[in-house]
Amino acid sequence: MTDARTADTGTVNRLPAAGLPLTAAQSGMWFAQALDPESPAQNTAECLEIHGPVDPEVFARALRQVTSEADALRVRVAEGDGGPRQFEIDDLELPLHIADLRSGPDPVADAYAWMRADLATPVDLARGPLFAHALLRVADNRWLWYQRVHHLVMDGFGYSLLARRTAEVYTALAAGEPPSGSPFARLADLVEEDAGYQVSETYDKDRRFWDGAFADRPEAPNLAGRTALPSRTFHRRTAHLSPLATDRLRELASSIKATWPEVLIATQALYLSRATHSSEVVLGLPMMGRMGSVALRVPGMVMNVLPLRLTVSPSATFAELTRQVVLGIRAARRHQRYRYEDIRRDLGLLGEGRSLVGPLVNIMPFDYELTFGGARAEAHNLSAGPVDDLTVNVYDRTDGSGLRIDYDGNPALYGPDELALHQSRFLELLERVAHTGPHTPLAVHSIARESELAQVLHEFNATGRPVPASTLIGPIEEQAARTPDATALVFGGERLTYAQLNARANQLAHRLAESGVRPGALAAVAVPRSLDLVVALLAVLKAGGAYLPLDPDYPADRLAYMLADAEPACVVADRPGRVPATGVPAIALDRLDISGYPTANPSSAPGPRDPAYVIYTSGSTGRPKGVVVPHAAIDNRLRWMQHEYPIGAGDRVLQKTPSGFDVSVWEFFWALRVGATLVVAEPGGHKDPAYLARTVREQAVTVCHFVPSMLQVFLGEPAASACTGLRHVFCSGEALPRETVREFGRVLGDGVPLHNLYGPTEAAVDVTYHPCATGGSGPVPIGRPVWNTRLYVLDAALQPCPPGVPGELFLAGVQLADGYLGRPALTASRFVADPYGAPGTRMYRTGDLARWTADGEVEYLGRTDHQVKLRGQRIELGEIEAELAKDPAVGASGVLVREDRPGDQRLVGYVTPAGGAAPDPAALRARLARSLPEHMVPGAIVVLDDFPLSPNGKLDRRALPAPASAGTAEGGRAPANHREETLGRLFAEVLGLDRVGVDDAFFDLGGTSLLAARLVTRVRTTLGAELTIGTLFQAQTPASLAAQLDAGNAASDHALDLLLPLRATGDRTPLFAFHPAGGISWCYSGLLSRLDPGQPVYGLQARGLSGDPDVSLPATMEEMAAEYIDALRTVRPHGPYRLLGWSVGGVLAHTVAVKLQEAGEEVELLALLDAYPSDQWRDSAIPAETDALTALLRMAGYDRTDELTREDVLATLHREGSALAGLPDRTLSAVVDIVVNNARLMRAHEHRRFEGDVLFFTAAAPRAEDWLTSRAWDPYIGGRLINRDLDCLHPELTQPARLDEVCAVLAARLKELDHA
Amino acid sequence: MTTRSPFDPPGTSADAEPTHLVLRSTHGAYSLWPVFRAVPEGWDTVHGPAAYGQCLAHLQESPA
Repeated sequence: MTDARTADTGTVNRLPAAGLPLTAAQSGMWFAQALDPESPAQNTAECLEIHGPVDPEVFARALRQVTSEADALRVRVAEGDGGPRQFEIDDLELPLHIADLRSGPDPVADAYAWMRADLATPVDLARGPLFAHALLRVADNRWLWYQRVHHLVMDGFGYSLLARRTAEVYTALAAGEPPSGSPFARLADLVEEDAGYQVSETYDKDRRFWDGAFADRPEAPNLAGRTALPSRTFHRRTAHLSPLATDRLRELASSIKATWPEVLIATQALYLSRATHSSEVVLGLPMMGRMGSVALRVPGMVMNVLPLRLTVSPSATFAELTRQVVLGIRAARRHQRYRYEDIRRDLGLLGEGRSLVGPLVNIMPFDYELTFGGARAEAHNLSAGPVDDLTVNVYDRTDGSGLRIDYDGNPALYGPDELALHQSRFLELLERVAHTGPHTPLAVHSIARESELAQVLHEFNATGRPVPASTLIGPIEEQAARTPDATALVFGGERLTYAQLNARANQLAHRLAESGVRPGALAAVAVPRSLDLVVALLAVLKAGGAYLPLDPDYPADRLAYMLADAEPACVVADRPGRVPATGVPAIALDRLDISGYPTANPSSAPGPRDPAYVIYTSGSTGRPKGVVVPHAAIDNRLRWMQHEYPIGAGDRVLQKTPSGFDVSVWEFFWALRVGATLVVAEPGGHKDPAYLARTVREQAVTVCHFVPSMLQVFLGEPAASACTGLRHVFCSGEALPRETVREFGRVLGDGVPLHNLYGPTEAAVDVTYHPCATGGSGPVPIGRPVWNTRLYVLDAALQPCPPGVPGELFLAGVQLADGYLGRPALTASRFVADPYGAPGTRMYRTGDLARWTADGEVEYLGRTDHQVKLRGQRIELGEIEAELAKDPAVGASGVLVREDRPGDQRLVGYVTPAGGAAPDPAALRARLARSLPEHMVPGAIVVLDDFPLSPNGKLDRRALPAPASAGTAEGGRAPANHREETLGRLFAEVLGLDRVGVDDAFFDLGGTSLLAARLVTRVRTTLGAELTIGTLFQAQTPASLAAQLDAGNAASDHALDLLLPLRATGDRTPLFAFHPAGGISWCYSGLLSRLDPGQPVYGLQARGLSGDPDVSLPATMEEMAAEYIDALRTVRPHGPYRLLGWSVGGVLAHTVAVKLQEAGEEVELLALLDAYPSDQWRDSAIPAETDALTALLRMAGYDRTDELTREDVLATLHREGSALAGLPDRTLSAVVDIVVNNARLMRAHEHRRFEGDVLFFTAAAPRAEDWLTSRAWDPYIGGRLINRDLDCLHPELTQPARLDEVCAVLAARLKELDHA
Repeated sequence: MTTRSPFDPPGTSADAEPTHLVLRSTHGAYSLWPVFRAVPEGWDTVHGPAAYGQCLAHLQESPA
C-alpha cells in the first residue's frame, strides 16, 4: 500500500485571514460535537464504485483541484473570543489514501473494513482536515472511491456537487484537456446569506409559522417509547422493496396526485401511529434548506430537519393521509430555512430535553451516476450523520431493483433485531398499501406481519378446553355430599363441617325462595365477614339467585343507590338497620329462625347461563354500575384455578377480601368446591398485617391473596417471614412491582410460589396468570390467558398489535360478564362484536394498555383513560368529579392521582368557586365521605380561582399544583448523600442561586444550554464523572443526576464506607482526608472543585456508621489509625502519601502519618486544619450527647444556637438542606456514639513524632478554648510547621469561603509536589 | 395524543357525523360498531350509520 499525500494544492481561493463565522446550521453541529468531542458520529461518508480503469495520479490531481475550489473542505473550526469560527488550514495536504487490495482473498470486504475503521475515527475540528479520501482498487477494473467529510462542513447535496465536479475534472484531465472553470459559489457568500436571513423579515415570518404550527407542543412519539443520548455509532439494516411493489407505489402515488416519497412518508406515519398507539405523529424530514442560486452552488452544510405533523385516523383513507403529507411538506418547504434547533428552542423543548420529532424519513434525491473518463460509477451512502433515534433512508435505485430502504437506529434505543422487525413490518405494510385502493379507510391495515397475526390471534390464545356445563354452587353441593364431616369453615373459634354448612345454607335458601329469590333474581347480602356471610351467599345461590354484595362499611347513600339501581328481591342483613330503608324487603339474620326449613338442597338450582353475582364498580359518568356475571363464567374460572394450582383436603384458604371486591369470589367458593377449609378473617382484619401474619400461622393457611400494595405492607411485618406454610400466594388488583416480588423472595424464600393474576370484574375475576420468579427482572407480566379465554391487543383500528407494540387489551371467551345491569348502551359500548372470534361472539374492552411479549405473555402498561386504581380499587375519577360538582359552591371540579414522591400515590381534588363564596375543602370532603367509599375520597381538596388550560382549552392536568402540605419544609427533601449535596452546590453555583434543592430541575431554575455546558464542566472536574449535556437533559435534578452518575459507575457510591471515594479518578497522588469527630468525611467534598481535577480525594470514615450493633468502636487511636492504613493501602499500597485532617481528623492524620513513616513509607504532605494534639484536651471534660450534637451540626457546617434535642438538631439539618439529614436514625445515633468515643480515645492517645513539615491552618477568630495554638504540635513535629491564620471559627473552616483560602495554599503545595 | 378508542365518543368535531352502527348478534346481544371496520360475522346492522350519540340513544331504548 502507498500513502499518497501530496504537496499543498497551491490554492488561490483562500478564506479571509480572520476566518468566517459559522452558519446557524453549522453552529448546531459544532455544539453537538463539543458535547462529545471524541465521537465520530458526525463523520459522513460515501463510496463511489467505479467500473473501469482509473489513473490514481490523475485522480489525485482532480481531487486537489476540487479541494481548491470547495472552500468548505479546507477549513478547520476553532473557538475564538466571539464563538467558533472557520479558518483556512495552512499548507493543507490532500488526505488521500491509495491502496491496491487485489491480492487479498476478499478485496471488497477488506475495502469496507478499511472504510468502516476510518469512519469510526473522530476528527479534531480545531486541527482538521475535516475530510479524507481513499482510492481502493478491488479488481482490475473496479475501484472504490471513498469520501469522508465531517457533517459540520458538508451535507448530502454538497456531496453530490463534489462528486460531480470531481468526475468532470478527472474526465477532462484524463483526456489531456484543461478542466472547465469552477462551478462553485464561495463559502463566504453562503455565510453572508445566512447572516442576512437571520435578520430578515422572512426569518420572522418563518418563526411565526413554526411557532403557530407547534404552539401546543405535541408529543412526538417514537418507536422505542423513550429517548436516549445520541450514540457514537448506529445500526444499519438495508432492505429493498420489491420492484413490483415499487412500481405499484408509483402508480398509486400518481393516481392521487402525489409522489412516491409522499406515499412512503404517509405509510411511515401510519406505521408510527399504530406502533405507538398515538393518533398524532411528528416525523422529521431532512430538507435541503437551499433556497436561491448561491446556496445551490456551494458544497457545504446547509441541510435542515423539519417536523411534519400528521393526524392518523383509522377512518381516513390512504389518499386523505397522503394529502396531509403533500400539504404539510409544501408548507414546510416554504419555511425550510428556519432551523430545527431554533424551533425546539422557541417551544421550550430544549429545556425539557424533549424531541420535536419521532423518526426521520430521509428521501435521498442525490443518488446519482457519474462517469470518470468513460468509466461508469454509482454512489452508495455509508453514513448520513448522527442518528438520534431512527432514520429511514430511502434511495430510488435507477437500475430497476426497487426502492432501497435503510433503517439506521441509535443502538441505545434499538437492537439489531428490533430494527429488523420494524423494517420488515414497514416493508410488508408498504406492499399491502401498494396493493390496496387509496380510497379505502386506513382501518383495513394492520401493521403486524402475517406471521405475527397468526401468532397473536391464535397461537397465544390456544386455550380451548372442554368443561362440563356447571355452576358456581353445584360442585359445592357435590363436595358436601362427598365429605360431610370435613371442616368447611373456620371463623375465630367457630367452625362448621361441610354437612353443617350445607344444611344451614339450604334452610336459609328455602326461606329466601319465599321472598322471591330464584334463577334470574337478585338478592342483596349486607353481612359483615362471618360464618353467616358465607351461609348467606351460598343460600342465595342455592335458591337459584344471584347475590349482590353490599359492603356494610359503605356510606348509606351508596348502599341506597345500589339497592335502588339493582332492585333485588330482598336484602339479607345480619341485623335490622344495616342498610337504609328503600322498600326492598329486608331479612335480618339475627331475628330469623330457620330451624323449621328443610335441610335438603332446594330444587331451584340455577343453570350455567343464569347470573351468579352482581358486583358494582366505579362508573365514569358518576354512577357505579352493576356487573352481571353468569355461572358458566365463574365456574370456568374456578375450574381453571383448581387445574393450575390443585388444592385439596389439607389446604386452608384465607377469606379476607371484602365481598364487594370480586377477588372475594374465588376466596369464598374455591375451597368449598374441592374439600379444602375456608378460614374467614375478622372484619377489618384484611388491613392489619400483624393480624394476617398471625392468622396465616395459627390457622395453618396455605392459600391467600394480596393486592400488591397490601403485600408490600405485609412483607414489612416482621412476623410475615414465619408464614412459610403458604403454598400459593396470589396477587391481583393493580400492577405488581418487580421490587415487591424480590422482597417476597427475601422474606418468604423460594418455597412459597407467588402468582400474578389479572382481570376485570367484567370477565369473572381473572383472565391471565403469571408465575413470578423471585429472581426475574423487568416489569412483571400479567401473563397468559386462562382456559377458554382469548386476549387481543388492538390498535385504534381494532387491528391486532404485533408483540412489543402497545394497544388496548380486549378479552373474549366464556368468562365475559353478561353486561351491566340495566345499562344496555353502556354494555353495547364495552362488550362489543368480536371480529376475531366465532360468529356472533363478543369481546370486552378493558381500557387497559398492554402489549404481548415475544413468547406470548401480556404486560400491563397502564390505563387508556382516566380510570385509576388506587390500592387495588378501581376508581373512575369522573365519578368523584361529578360528586364534587354537585356542591352548589363548586364551579368546576377535577380529580387526579398525584405521585409527587415516588411510590406515594394519593387522590387530590381540585375545585373552582361557582361565583359566590369559596368552597370549603373540609365541607367538601365531608360531603364526599357521605356518598363515596373511603378509598374514593380525596385526601386533599385544593380550591383554585381558575383551572390551568392547555392550548386546546382542556384542563391541563399536569399543571395542577401539588396541595400544600404542612409537613414539607420549604426546601424539600434533604440530600441523601455527598454526591447529591455536591451536585446541589454546583447547580446553585452555576445558576447563581443561594441553594438548590435535590429535586429542583436545572432548566426550571433558569438554566440555559450555555449554563448547562458550564455545569457539566464543573461536575466533570469536581466529581471526575463522565457526563455530557445530554445527561443533564435527561436528569435535571441533583438527585436524578446523582442517580445517573451512580448508574454509570456502579461502584461509586458507598457514602458510609470506611474509604469514601470522593473523587476516584485522576493521575495525581491521592489525597486522604480524615474524618472529624463525627466520623463522616462528606465535609471534604468542598475540596473537589477547588483542587486540580486530576487530584483524587478519598475520605476516611469511622467504622460503625451503619449503626450495626455487632460492630464495636475502636479501643485506641492506634487501632483506628492501623485500620485506616489498611484501607488507604487498598487504593495506594505504598507512599508517598498525602494526608489531611480537620479537627479530630487532624489528630488522626498525624497518627497515621507517624505509623506510615514507622512502616518505612514516605509521607509527603500532612495538612492539619485547626487540629490540636491530644495533650491539649486531657483536662477538658469528655463530651456528653449534647456536645456530640454540637459536633454533628458542626460537621454540617453550622453553629449550634438553640437546638436542644436530637430532633431539634435534625430539624436544623433538614431545614438547611444538609446531606446529613438524609441519614437514617441509627446512623445519626451511631454518630453521637462515635463523637463520644473519639473524644475519649483522643484524650488517651500519646503522639509520637512526625518527621517532616506540616501545613497548618488556624481558625483564628477568638474562641472559648483560648489556649489552643499551633505551637502545641512542636514536640510532635520534626520539620517545620507552616501556619496560615484564617479569620473564622473552627466550624467554618470547611465552608466555601474558607475552603477557597485553604485550597489556594493546599493546591499550590500539591502542585509543587506534583512537579517535584 | 393517545389514540381514542373507536367505542368512545368521537371528538367534538365529529360528534354529528355518522361514525357508528348498532349491531345485533344472532344471540341477541347488541354492539356499538365503528363504520370504518367491516361488520363481523354473526352480527347485523340494526341502526346507522348514525352519530355516536344517536347510536347510544337507540341502544338505551332497545330491549336489552
